[in-house]
Amino acid sequence: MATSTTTWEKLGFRKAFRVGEAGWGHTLWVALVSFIYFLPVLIIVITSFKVQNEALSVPAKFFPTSFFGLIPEQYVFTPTLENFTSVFSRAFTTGGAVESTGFDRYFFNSMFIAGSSVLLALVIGTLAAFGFSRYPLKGNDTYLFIILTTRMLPAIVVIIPIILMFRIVGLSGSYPGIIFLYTAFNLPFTIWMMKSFFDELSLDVEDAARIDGSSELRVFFKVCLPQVVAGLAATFVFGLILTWNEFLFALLLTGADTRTVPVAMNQAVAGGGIGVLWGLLAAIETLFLIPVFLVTFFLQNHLLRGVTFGTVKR
Amino acid sequence: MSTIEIKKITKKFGEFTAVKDADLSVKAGEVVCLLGPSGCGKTTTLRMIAGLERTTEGDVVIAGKRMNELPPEKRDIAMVFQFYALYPR
Repeated sequence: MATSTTTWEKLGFRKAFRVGEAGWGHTLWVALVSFIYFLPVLIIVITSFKVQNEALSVPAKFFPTSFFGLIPEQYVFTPTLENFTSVFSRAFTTGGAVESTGFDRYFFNSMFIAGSSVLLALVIGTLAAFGFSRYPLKGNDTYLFIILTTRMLPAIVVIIPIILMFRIVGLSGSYPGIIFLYTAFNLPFTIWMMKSFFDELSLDVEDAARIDGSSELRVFFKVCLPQVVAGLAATFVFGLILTWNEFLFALLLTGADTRTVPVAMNQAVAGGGIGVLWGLLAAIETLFLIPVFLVTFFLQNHLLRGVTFGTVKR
Repeated sequence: MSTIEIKKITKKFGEFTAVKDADLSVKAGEVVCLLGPSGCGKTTTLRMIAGLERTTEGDVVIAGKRMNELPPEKRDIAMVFQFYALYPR
């Protein structure tokens, strides 16, 4: 191969014949693709700082400042925090005093319901996964497949029987009802995910612990669990995102007190005859984004760390 | 004086017989080498002595006590594995 650099390579697109740092060309290309992917989120965040007529203006106003006159006036909007305050309390368009919209309650509901159901699913699912991995039943794969089939049904198919069952048992509109439902909803994914993590572990380590005098419980808690922390974190994040965004079950199975944000959001933005309040919607969405973002951000070290870190050399 | 004795132990994995009628007796302080080709049952025998596998037939006697049903943590015995097995932090 010739040693001369082509224009392609001068632009930063090195041939990927070995592992190494990518050139500027590749990095910029990835940055461009990421920008396209994150554009909707960016638009939401920007819109949350606009008043209604600026949110609707064509061409869209993209910049909060004119950068000392660099950007033409028609693309610049004046940022305001009005939308964020009116998420929690506002005077309605019909007039009258400022009222609380109850969104503090809905945010608490979303966090409480999503958090507790995902944790519950994680506890039950991890134990089940360990059982499936280490003490296989006769026809183990059949059981696992049956568990998986509960996820194959679209939610809309099972929603009517579930509503009827909840009504008879008296669970509809209560916290335990929706938490149990989401737990059942998250369990198949948790079991499959954690089982694959447990399958990866070396059995020798566990046998060594047994010979050194650990009971089965101690083997599970002190030897197996520390090795699957990455798996626990990943499963928790995926489950949380899924539950956090869930709309259909929340719409039909929560009451006025247990309503979650996705449902409440839908009802809050209908602006009483003047169309959708885009600024308000964007503000709710921006606030709704933050908790999951923070959880993912703080768990990312666990997500990235290797699974069999410091155990068995293969 | 601690000794290890195995009497006529047999291990079957389903239809497959891994160890058949093995006898062995080890006295205190003795160094014993189990020699054999791959898959002849060396590891299975050791795992049965350690208590990681149940014997299908026969007895494992350590220090004069029959240990067939005891879990590994109650046998007061040590074993080194083929691969490094380091505990997680």
